[in-house]
Amino acid sequence: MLEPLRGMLADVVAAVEKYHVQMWEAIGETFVMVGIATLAALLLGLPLGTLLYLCRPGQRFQNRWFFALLNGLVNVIRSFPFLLFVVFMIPVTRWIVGTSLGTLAASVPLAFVAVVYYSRLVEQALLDIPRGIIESAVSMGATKLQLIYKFLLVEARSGLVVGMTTSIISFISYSTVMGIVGGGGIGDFAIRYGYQRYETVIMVVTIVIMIILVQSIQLTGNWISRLIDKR
Amino acid sequence: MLHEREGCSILTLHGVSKGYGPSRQRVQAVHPLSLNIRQGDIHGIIGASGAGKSTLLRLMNRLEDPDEGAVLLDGVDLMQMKEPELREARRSIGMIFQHFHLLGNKTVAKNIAIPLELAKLDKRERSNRVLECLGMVGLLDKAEQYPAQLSGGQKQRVAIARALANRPKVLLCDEPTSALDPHTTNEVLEVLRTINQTFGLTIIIVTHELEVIRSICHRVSMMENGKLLRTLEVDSAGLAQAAELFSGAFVRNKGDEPFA
Repeated sequence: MLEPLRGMLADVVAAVEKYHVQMWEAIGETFVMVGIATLAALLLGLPLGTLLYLCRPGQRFQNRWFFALLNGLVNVIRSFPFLLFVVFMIPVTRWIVGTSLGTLAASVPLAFVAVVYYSRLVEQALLDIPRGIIESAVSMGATKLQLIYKFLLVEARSGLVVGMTTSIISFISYSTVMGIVGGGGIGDFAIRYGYQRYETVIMVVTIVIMIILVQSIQLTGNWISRLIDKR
Repeated sequence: MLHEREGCSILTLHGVSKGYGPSRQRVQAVHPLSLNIRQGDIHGIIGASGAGKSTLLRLMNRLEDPDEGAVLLDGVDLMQMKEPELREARRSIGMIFQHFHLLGNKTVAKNIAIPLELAKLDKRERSNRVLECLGMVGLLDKAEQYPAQLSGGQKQRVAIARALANRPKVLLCDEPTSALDPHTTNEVLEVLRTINQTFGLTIIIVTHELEVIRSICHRVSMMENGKLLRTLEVDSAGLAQAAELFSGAFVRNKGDEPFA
């Protein structure tokens, strides 16, 4: 009964031995793309989501036109099928990083999508806090900036972590199509070696790696969000 | 004792009104009215839900901007102030709410420290003042707990301590006991009474419970449909009149709030 299992294991070892250099390189590329996207989401998606929340009609600081503008922009970017967006963004990418090919270039459209994707989850996390918090902050004489970082972000922090976890997992998934602009990454590796060269074992190994990666990100995210939620 | 306070008002509303919505279906939450709050009083504002009492309270620190009129705190008109001045003024107007609005992710001590941080006190001054305020509401032993670990009455006492941190001239209370059971209601009212007696702090309480008026208020204003019906001294004659007017208001409004 153990014989076929041992045979499979041998196949896996052989495949990994044959391609481990390329595989590590691909994993590295995925980390670069997802890392840049995550950073962009934090630095720009967080403020964008906060603005969406504050300007929302019905909120204390509502601003219909500004909200319509931001909301429209986010919706437009999110309506693109991601693959099309990558192609559509080629001129912008070339303008920003000087080339439209490679891992760095592939990070540009991914970062754009990351910012708008996370901003929606930030908006949602903020909407989950009781509205009276804003009123109490204003009654204490808080400025808008103080309202944001001393009240809203403090109360929403576990939701923000959950949102970031979901986002990172989506970024990994998005990053798998980056072969189209030579971005590489684990998805591209699976397609080129596993699919196009009929190395089914490599395909399976890649999928298992992805599963482990996603599981550990989700578990870590859940753990952190529970740790910092005192409500 | 009440007569000594006559004429010495800390907060005055002068011809203020507030409406919502576009001109055609405009709802007048507060019709033009004037009101004097005497220094050192506990002043109740009572009325059914929708009577405009919470809106009236929010005009006092400009959480809502009145459409017209003047809001004088210690003789200074809040309506003439620009944002930075107004923020400064709001630090001398404490406010507590029906649902407390404490930050669940901060400890009790950190919650009370927030207004002090906003006022840019340094760390040592902050922690001293936090302890003083915790002492005033009798919760020194809860400093390092989170609000989720406290009872409703304790949460409201933390909110009171937070509102007192910057040594306000007045304390605005928006239905402070409406989310509490009768026992914890008394606990909170007792704290408010003690603070009023010890520091002479002026307290304004919006409520729909006549019992709150009866137990701690010096004067009471009755509101109905956005209008100020009358302001009375809370003595036996005043209470009787208030009860009568108040029940009348409920009947006229077909009020469905529990009559406490």
